[in-house]
Formats: sequence, C-alpha cells, structure tokens
Amino acid sequence: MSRRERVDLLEKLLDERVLVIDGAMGTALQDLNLSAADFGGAELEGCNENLNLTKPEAIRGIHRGYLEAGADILETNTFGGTPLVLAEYGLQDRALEINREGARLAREEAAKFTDKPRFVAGSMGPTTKAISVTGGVTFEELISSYEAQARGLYEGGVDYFLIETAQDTRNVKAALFGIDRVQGALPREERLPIAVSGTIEAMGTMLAGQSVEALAISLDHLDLLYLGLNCATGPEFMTDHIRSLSQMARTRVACVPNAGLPDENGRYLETPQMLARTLQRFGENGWLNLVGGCCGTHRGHIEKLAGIAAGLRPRKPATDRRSALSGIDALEITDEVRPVIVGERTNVLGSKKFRDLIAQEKWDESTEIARAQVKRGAHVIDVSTQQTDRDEVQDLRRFLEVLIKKIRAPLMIDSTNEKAIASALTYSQGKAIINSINLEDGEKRFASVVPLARRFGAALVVGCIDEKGQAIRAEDKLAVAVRSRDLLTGKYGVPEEDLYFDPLVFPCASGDAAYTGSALETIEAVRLIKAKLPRCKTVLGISNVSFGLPSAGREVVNSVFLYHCVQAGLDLAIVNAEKLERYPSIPESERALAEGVLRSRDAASLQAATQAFTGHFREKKPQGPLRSELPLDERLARYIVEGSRDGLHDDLAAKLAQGVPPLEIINGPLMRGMDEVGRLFNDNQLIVAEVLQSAESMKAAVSYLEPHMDKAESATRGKILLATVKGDVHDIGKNLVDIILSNNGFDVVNLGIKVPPEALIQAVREHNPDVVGLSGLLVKSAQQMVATASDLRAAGVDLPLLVGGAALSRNFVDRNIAPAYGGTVAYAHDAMSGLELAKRVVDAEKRLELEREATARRAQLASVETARPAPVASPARRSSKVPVIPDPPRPPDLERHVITNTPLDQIWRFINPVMIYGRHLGLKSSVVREVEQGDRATLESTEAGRKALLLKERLDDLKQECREGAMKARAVYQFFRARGEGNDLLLLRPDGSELTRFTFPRQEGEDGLCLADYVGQDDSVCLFVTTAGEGIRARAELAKKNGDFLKSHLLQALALETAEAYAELLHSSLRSQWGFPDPLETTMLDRFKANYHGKRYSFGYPACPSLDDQQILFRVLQPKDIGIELTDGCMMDPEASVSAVVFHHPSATYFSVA
Amino acid sequence: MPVLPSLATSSIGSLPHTQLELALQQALLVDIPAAPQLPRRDPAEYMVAQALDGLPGLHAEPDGTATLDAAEWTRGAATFDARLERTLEKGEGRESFLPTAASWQALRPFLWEVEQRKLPFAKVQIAGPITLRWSLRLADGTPLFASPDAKAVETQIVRLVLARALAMARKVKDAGATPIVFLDEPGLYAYDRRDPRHLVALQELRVLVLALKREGALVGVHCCGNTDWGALLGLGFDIVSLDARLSLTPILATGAFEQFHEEGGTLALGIVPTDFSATDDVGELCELARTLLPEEPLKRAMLTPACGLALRSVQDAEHIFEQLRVAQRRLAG
Repeated sequence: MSRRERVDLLEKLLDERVLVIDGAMGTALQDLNLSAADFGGAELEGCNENLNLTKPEAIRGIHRGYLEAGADILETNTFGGTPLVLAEYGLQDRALEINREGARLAREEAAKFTDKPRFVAGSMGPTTKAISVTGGVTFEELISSYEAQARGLYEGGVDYFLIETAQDTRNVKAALFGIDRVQGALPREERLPIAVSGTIEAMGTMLAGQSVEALAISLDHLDLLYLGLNCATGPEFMTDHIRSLSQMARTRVACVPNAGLPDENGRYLETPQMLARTLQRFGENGWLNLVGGCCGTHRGHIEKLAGIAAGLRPRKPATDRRSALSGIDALEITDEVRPVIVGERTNVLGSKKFRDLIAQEKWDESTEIARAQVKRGAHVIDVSTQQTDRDEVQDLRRFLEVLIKKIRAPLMIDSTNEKAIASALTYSQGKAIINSINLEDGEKRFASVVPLARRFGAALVVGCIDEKGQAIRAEDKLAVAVRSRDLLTGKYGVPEEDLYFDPLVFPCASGDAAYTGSALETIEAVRLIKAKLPRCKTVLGISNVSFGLPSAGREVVNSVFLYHCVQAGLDLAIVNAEKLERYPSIPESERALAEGVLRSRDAASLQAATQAFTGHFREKKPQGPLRSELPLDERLARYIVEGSRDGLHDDLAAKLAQGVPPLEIINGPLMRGMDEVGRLFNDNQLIVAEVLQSAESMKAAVSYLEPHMDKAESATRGKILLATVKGDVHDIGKNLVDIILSNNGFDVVNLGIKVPPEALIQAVREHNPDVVGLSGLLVKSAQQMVATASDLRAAGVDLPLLVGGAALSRNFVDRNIAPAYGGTVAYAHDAMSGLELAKRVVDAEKRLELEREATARRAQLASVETARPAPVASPARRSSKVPVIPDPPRPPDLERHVITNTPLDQIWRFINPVMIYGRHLGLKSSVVREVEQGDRATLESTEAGRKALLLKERLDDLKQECREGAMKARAVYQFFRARGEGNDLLLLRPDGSELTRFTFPRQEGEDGLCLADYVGQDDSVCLFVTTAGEGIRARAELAKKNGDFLKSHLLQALALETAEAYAELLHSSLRSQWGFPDPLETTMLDRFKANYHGKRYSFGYPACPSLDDQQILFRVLQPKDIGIELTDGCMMDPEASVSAVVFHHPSATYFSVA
Repeated sequence: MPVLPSLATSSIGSLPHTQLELALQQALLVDIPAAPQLPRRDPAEYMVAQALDGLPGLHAEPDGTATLDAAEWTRGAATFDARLERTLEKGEGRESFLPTAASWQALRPFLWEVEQRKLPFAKVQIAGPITLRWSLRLADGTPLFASPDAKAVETQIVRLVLARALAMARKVKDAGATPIVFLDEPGLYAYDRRDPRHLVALQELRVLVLALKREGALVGVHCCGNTDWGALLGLGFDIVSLDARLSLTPILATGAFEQFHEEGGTLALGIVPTDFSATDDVGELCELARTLLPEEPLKRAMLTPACGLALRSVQDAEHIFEQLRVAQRRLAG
C-alpha cells in the first residue's frame, strides 16, 4: 500500500470508527532500565531520540508491544527530535537522521502487523522553548528547527505529522510553517496531513495561556487531520475541555490523557480500567475520533482502550462556522456580546500620547495604554505604529513583544504595510483581525493581504471604499460591501464569517457639507449590510463622528451615535474604552442635544444644533438657612435642634444667671431639644449628619455647664494592684477591670502579665494597695492562682483578693483558692463585676456582707455536688430509611496515601466561586456570576462590578504568588474496611479486627438517622484530610503588618477555599476509585451542591457535631505528616484544613442530630 | 417595627472558636443568628479594636485592648473627619466603614449565609461609644479623658461607630434580612447620672438609635452588668439585652419598663449563665423569668446567653447553646 493510499485509508477509518494511538514512550523506556552506554555514552544519557540510532531494537520492542496491545497508530520516538532540543546533547546536526530513523523504525514495525491497518504519526514535541513564555528563540528559528524535524519524518515514511503536547500556539504556528516548507511545494497528493494535540494544564489553559476554545479558534483555518488534547492531567480533568472541543471543532477530536497524576513516589494512579472507563464515557457521548495514552500509560492501558474503542461510534465534526477571534482568550462575536469594543488608544494616528511613547521607545508605558483599555472594557486592541518618520515593522515588533505578555485580548493589526502585518501576526497566538483592506486600488490590496490572512488564520476589516473613493451614502456603502464580499469569498476563498465591513464614519459637525447627515447614512448602512450579508460582521471607528465638536461633549455624541449604530446591528466599535460614556447614564437633555447634532441633514439645522450642544453646560448654586429670635428656653432647645453653637454660651450663661442649676438646664431645655431632634429625624426632616451636629451642640453645652456643677466623687476610692499570674500572657479581662476601675475612682497599679508570686509580694509591699486582683485565662492559670494565693498567705499578705478570668469558676475559687489564701477572696466573673466587687471590698460594711455570702456559699458547696445533666441517648436502632446494600463497592486498596504534588490550579478548578467571591469577599451572587462569565463590560458598568474586577485581579496576583510557593496543598487519605454497629462505626484492620470506632449521635425520635447506618456489615469508608494552610497565617500576618489588609484576608480566604476545593477534588477521585465515577454531565455546580453518589461528613457539623472525634481520625490517619495538628479544642491547625469521613452509600444525606 | 419571633434564640456575638467554619455553624444554630466575632482566632476581633479599626493612631494590642497614639491621631484626624463627614452627610463611601475582613473575618461569610438561607433577621453588633471611650487609653497608659483631645476623639468615636453600624445594617438589608444592630455597652455598668459627661454620652446613644432605626434596623443594646436601666430604657432601643440572673429584677423595678414594653420594646434575656460558677441553672432562671415577667413581655422576649463566649472553651460554648434551646422549650411549654 502506498503512503497516499494509507493516508486516504486513515482519514476514512477515522470517520468510521474510533482509532487508538499508542501509549507512553518515556514510561516504557524507563521500565527498560537502559544504561548510559545504551544511549551512546554518559553525555547522551536521557536523549531518548538518540536511541533510534543507538538502541533501535528497544524502540522496535516498545512499538511492537503497543501494536500487540491493539494500537492502530504508532508515534515515532521523535518527541524531542527538533535540532533545538537535540542541541542540548550536541546532536542538532543529526536531527534529520534521528527523525528519519525514528520514522523508519515505527513504519517497519507497523508494516509487520497485517491483521488491520496500522499507521505512523510523526511526533513533533513542543521543544524546550515556548516562545511566548520562555522566549529564548525567534519565530524564524523555531520554523527552521521544525522544518528539519519534519523533513526527517517525511523521508522516514510517517503517515502524518503530529504536533503534540502543544503549550504555545505560536510554537504550533511555527511548526506548521516548518512543515509547509517541507511539503508546501509538493503536489497535493504527496502532502501529508497534520494533526495538532494541545496540552491543557491543571490551571485550565495551555502554558502560554490559551484555553481550548481559543486554541480551536486559532487553528480553525487549517484542514487538520484532527485536533486533540494530550498529557498534563488525567482524563477526568479533561472532561470540560474535550466536551468544549467536541462542540466547536470542525475537525476530528482526539483525547490522549496521562494515567492520572503521580503520587509522591512518581506512580501514576489511574489503572487501565479507570482510564478506559473515563474515555469510554467520553466516547459514548460522541466526543471522540481517537483515543490513546500519554505519560504513565503502558500496554495494559492501550489494551483496555482498544477494547472500548471497538464499541464506540466516532464523532462527526461540527460543520457550522462562527465569527470568532482570539488572543490568549477566545472571543466569539455573537449578538449577546455586541458591541464588541475595540480599544483605539494604541494607534499612533489617534493618540498623541501613544505616538510620543513609541517615538521615545517606551515600550512598557506604551503597552500600559493597551492594558488600561482592556481594564476599561475593550475586548480587542487596535494596534498601529505606522509613522512616516519611523520604522513601522521594528516598532511593531518591539511593542508587541511586550504587549503579548500583558493582555489576553485579540489583536487588530492596523496597517497598510503587508510586511508589518506579516510580522505582527507572528506575535499573535490567536486569531487576529487585519485592519484593513479595500478596493481603492482595485483588487491590489486584496491580493497582497488576503494570503497573509489565510496563512495565519486572521479575519479582515473591509472598508467601504472603492475606486471611486469613500462611500458616503448608505446604498453606496452596501454596494461596495457586496462587491467585496463576492470577490473575497469567491475568488480569494475567505469565509464570510471572517469579513468585518467598515461602512466608514465621518465627522458629523465639521461644517463640511459632504458629511452633513453622514452619521445617519452610516447607521443606515450598518442596517443594510447586516440585512444583506448576515454571516458577515460590521465595524466602525466611532470617535470620528464627533471630530470638531468641543471635547467636553464629544463622548456624549460618540455614545449616542454608538447607541444608534448598535440598534442598527453594529458588531464591533472602535472607541476609547476608557472614556466611553454609558448611554443610560447620559441625562435625557444631553441625549437630545447630541441627537440634534447627529440627525441634522442641512447646514442651518446643524449650526443650530451645534450651538445648542456647545452651550448646554451650566453651573448650579446652593442656598443658606435662616435663624429666629425666640424665648431663652426655646432658644436653648433650638441650639440643639439646629446643631448650632453660635450664641450658645451666652444663652447658657444667662440661664445660669437665673439661678437654674446646671443639671436642670441639661435635663430641661437641652433635653427637650434632643427630643425634638428625635421627632424630626423620625419624620425624615433631619438627616444623620444633622443629628450628629445636634449631639455636638449638646456636648458643647454640657462642657460649658460642667465647671458649674458639683463634682462627682473625686476622691480615690482605693488602690488596687492587678496582675495576670505567672505563665499566662492573657490579660484582656484584667485590663478591662483596670479601665473600668480607673474610670470609677480607683487608683490602679497594673503589674502586667506573667507576674510571679514573689514580684506580686514585693509590689504589695511597695504600693501598699487596698486590694489585690489576679487574673488568668489558661486552665493551668487556675492552679497557679492557688499557688500564688498560698505564697501571698505565707508572706503575710492578708489583703482582700479579687480573682477572675476564663479559667476560673466560682466553685473552683471557693473550693481551692479561698482555702489556700485564708483571707477574703472574691470572684469576679467578668470585668464588670470586678468594679462592683472592688467597691464592696473597700467598703468595710459591704465587705463583711461579702464575706458572709462567701462563707454561706462555701458551706453549701461542701454539702452538694452538682453535675451537668447527661444527655439523653437515643436508642441505637438502625434507621429503616437507609437500605442495606447487598454488594457494596470495594476500594482499590487499604493503604495510606499522602499526596503532595497536586497542582494548585487543578485544585482551584474545584473552588466554588460563590464561596470565595460571595461568602468571603461579600459580592452579590449576580456579580459573582458576571465575574465567572468574564463579563467585563457589564462589570465595568457598575461600582460593584468594578470592585469585583479589582478583587479578581488581586486574587489572580495572589494565586501567582501561591503557585510560586506561598501555598502548599497536601492531602492524606485511606480507605478502611468498616462495619456499622448500632450508633458505632467500626474501622477494621485488613484482617477484620477492630482498629477503632466512632460513636455517632442519632437523631431524636422514631427512626432517627445516624451516620453509622450508612455502613453495612462488610463495607468500607474513607477518611481524609486536606490542607492548604501551611505558612498562611504567618504570611497573612505579615501582609496585615504591612497594612495590606485585603491581601491578608484574601490569602486566608483563598487558603480556606483551597482546602475545601481539595476536599471536593479528592472526594471526586475517591468516588472514581470506589468504582462509581461522576457521570459526565456532572457539573461543578452539582458537586458544590453535593449532587453525587455518597457524602462526606466533617466533625463539628450537624450530623457529627462532636469535635472530639477528630482525635480518632487523627490517630488513624496521622495528618501530622502533612503538617496538621489538633488544638486543645480539637480544631485543626492550620485552619485551612478539611477532614472528613466519606461514605459511599447512595442514600447518604446531610442531616442534623440537634 | 417587624415582629420578632416569640422567644427567639440568639447570641451575644463573640465565640471561642478559632475555626471560621465551625464558628459559623455554631452561630447559625439559633433563631436569630449573630455575626460571630472570633477574638481567639485573631485579637483584632476583640470589641474595642474591632469597633475602632481605622481610627487614626489606634493600635490594637494582642491582649485585646487598644491604645491611641495622640500624635498620630492629630495628624490623621482631619482627613478621617472629612471621610466620616462625606459618609454621614452624603452617604458617600459608606461601605468603606464596613469592618474590614481583617478585623472581622466571619462577617462576610455570615452575611452570605444569611442571604443563602433567606433568614428573616440577622444580628450584628458593635461596641458602643460609651464603652469605647472609657476603654481607650493613650499610648502612655493614661485614660483617654485625661487627654486634651479627649472631646474631639470621643466625637470621632461616636461618628465612627455610627458609620460602621450603618454600613453593617445596610449590608444585612442587602442580604435580604431585617438588621438587628446591637450596641455592646458593658461600660454602661459604670454609668453615673450625676456625671455630665455620662449624660452626654447617653444622648449620643440616642442619636445612634435614631440613625440606625432610620436605616430600617432594629436597634438593641447589651449590658451584661447592672446599670441605670431607667435611663437606658428611655433611649428608644427596640431591644435591651441583659443578664437575666443579675439584672431582671432591677430592670423591672424601674418605672420605665412598662413604657418600654408599650412602645414595642423587647427584652433579650441572657437566660443561660456564661460563668459556670453561677449556682442557678437554666431551669431556675426560666422560673425566675416566668415569675417576674408578665405574659406579654415574656412572650415577646428573645433568649440569649448571658454574655459573649470568647473566653469560654468551644465545648462550653456548645453546652451553652444547647442550654439555650432547653430554655426556649421550657419557656414556650
């Protein structure tokens, strides 16, 4: 069979059934334990591709193994076969040979299997440079490197080129150009098809940032053999990406996952059954044309895949085209997103600031303009550096080099220079749009620019200009558009969906008669073009319409004009995104003025409208209040009501002169004033600020009267010595007592914290107090207080002793401290009662009364023992609501697993946005939805939305810090054999003996539920702990110390939700391991709502409220190994940790035992 | 005034938990949950530091107290005043006075829960201006009233409390619940009606009550010691919270209670002792309430622990919440 026949057969088979590509080459080579000599010497050890030359039999053996396992397609052992990669071993000059040999080995082995057709894919890896991320290579160098590899593969006999593990679409583009150099000039029948397989990392995008949607849009212009995903994660995490790809790809779809993620020993955790099960589900949903295995997979996986592939029907590629653009992000131009905003400020013709920055070669500052446009809502960025006095291509390169690292939006390349366009397009990962082409010089510009657009897969702006010049009337614009469409789709093969017609905007109030009324023509042209060419899009440079008008009103005219254009169907608007006024926020009167200017069709009415427009801004002015003459008492009250102090002192002096005591003045006219304030306020006649002014007048009045009043008791009531006992640093209670006492006439000597008895005794001698106060929070402080009391007694101190603090109870004081001290001991249960006690203690008579009370209480205590009533236990009868499962699922193993390498991005996919944005950051649900949908324009339009965007940016920055090491996510889990016995859940050793047991509470009443009901006689449960908290508290504290409170909070919130998300992720994996993976249609929302098989329960929550059970879990699972400790109160430290017992029972539900 | 459920359970605010989720679980177990303050988790959540967070020159100490650096305050006072002015006069930047997440970690999660659970009432609390002005000390340890700037600082404290309380009330409303804003005023224990400074302070409380009512909040005050209940009952509070064991008899002895009740006022009975030294148990306190309170005021009452629980243990807090339900059953039955 010739290669051409094989290729045709391959394409035919891919449409008929799901084919299987082989498994990992690296994993298989590792299993062979090859020596340095096998690689060709120590300096070449690790260069797998060189084994094609030095150890071909090993490579052949691996190929044979996969063919025997049922693989339809072999990949050549040339993943790192570009000269760029081989240069690391000094083998760059042998690239051709290595690739050719690799292709030959695979081809020859494939040919030996004749039971069914076998094919060979020429593997072309991503190289060691992702040009957009790592740099270190030029686009041209990448093309040359791929060209060398492609040549070798072609010569060696591959059936197609497979650009795989693609992490940067610019690399993919370079590879495509490299392949094109090998076979572009060949006759069509000798060219080989190309497949592309991207790698979506755990963070949900490729390394260079593109999502699967953006990748698909970027490559939509190519006739690929298939587009797929491989590597990075296990299949479960590819679900959304493969689903999306299958929905939009106009070619076949492949899924080639890793065997899950490796654990800490580098073992990939997904068995052949697990991998096959997931891919079978994908296949049954009609998403796939090809399956296979990447890292960690081996013959066993491929065997299983071959088994399931036979029963699957292949996917039918999507047929409909869409108008879409992409940068790093995808942007589909639909009615819902209209108008798509194109930021115009990075155009040297429209922005002097930008022009100056380019002239000064300030690339950072100039690219910041683009970033600001995106921040203010631009979906696309228009870029032009075309100036006669500068090198446009060079400026464009240097500008884009910086820009592509800053923005994710698609680019609009605005230039008339084809070289500049070609150069600019090499910087775009995605599908850019070229601005613009037209028929001014006939088809000349079409002929020079369209091939570039087709080669790079760019869309086109087509201006409504022909040989007669710019079309002004609507019908003329439409005629040019239709003619252009016919030419571009017919002669040049451009899809209609890639054409964006610009009906042109002219200054409406410039006074140029030719343009008077042109705004209406343009609006009408948009309507006509949209009606006549419904598959094409429209675009307008809006700002031009207001040229010549006063700058203060330009944005109003622009906004009103834009509004009408959008009503007419406009798709893209080129505007200054930072200044655009929102139409609804423009006052009605201003809208009318703008309408006047836009709608004028003759010079006279235009002049009138323009005059009205320019003269409409006016100033406003406020007015002041009056005062009245009233009788003295009423005047005094009025001061309060009006919040005025002007004349207050004189009137107060007059009132005092009448012989009225100050307190009466306060409680009389002044208080009446306050009452009136209350009434007016309740009637909505005063605002809060005015009420506050009233209070201040009141205060001023009282301050004036104060010196005229008899002083409250000013003599000191007594001296008190306060101390927190030895070993305790907590003194909030003591300090409150200090404050209250000193505010009430006591002279307080505060000795501070950790005061040993000897220091206290010395202070007693020094200060000669009337009372000693002791405080302590810790449990051990209670005993220390006994010791201190005892020492004080031994030192001859017999002053009244005031004791308090959370560690104490009155009974403890009576039973332990009072006997140890001998003298008067009074217990203050809080700071407030401290004052009362102090007052009583320093009053001889009241002190006697206090002592009598204490004596009586202590006597009673000696005779009565009290205890808290024991809770009434519900009968341990299994609830009939929980059916017995006859054949419960078995866990894959009973080993303890520690996972320390789950990528944070993978975990973050499981973060419930509502929790982090809504619960922790306080955003409304509607705003959270907009944040999730990336609806920047809507968000930008409201205060809450702008705040949300700011928070998202801060969170994204923080995530980056976390990726760089600020956060570590770890988990430990273990399945246990288990048995339910009444209210007890028994964890069993593998041999069936009891390891430990939990006793759970049961709901009160008939047939109440208990967690133990979910476990049968020979069953299993899983225990796990996840954490993301290590070091978080310290970092949060540091941020707080530095005044960055938001960061401090975000970090703590992110850590909490990361631990929760990790629990969700792990639980999902546990279900899979138990043998009941989530159905494909399971969404994250389902998971957040716990809509899945089985449930997990954490201690402290309603079904198992006792935190003490944490101790059992900690004993058997040893989460100390991942840095988690239990506090005295059985809380986990660090806090950002989640522990749970997982039950598989399908009836498991959340309930409360309260 | 919205009608509160009869004998609704609620809490004072502070909890001993160090874990946010568990604290929220605990706080949400009552009929009218209060946003939990967790000072054991972070001392910034102690009442003084939390209420005054943002005041120029304020330094929160790890032990829960707060001091004021007079020089720092002087430097920042005018700007801060202007901010307060803008908020209180024009409503601008009101949200900026919401307690920061750093000073009240559980507030936003709590409000979120309130919204998701569609709770009819939610309680937030803030230390009242009287307690704050009497608790604040200057950096050298002298009481605030000894400072020449005392009056200006006190004014700012009142305005800050008002701005913060209004911001919280608005947030609770945004969450779909009727806000119940409590001023936590343990300092009222030391109130002396002969001291003009105290008289002024009480009038300022009245202003706060008016302003918060305007915002649509039910306004309560909590004082866990005894005070001049007559004066307090006349300030227009919707709810007055007290330690039932300590204060039920004295509050009923004032002539003002009847009018308070007639005007729709509710007592929040601190029916569960929070110091385990108390010899009376919940049953006895329920009996006390039954004996002392007429039927109507009792039916209208709310039930709470006697005080905040920050300095108890988690287990004690759980027990106290259980006892609260016991009390509710007893009084309703």
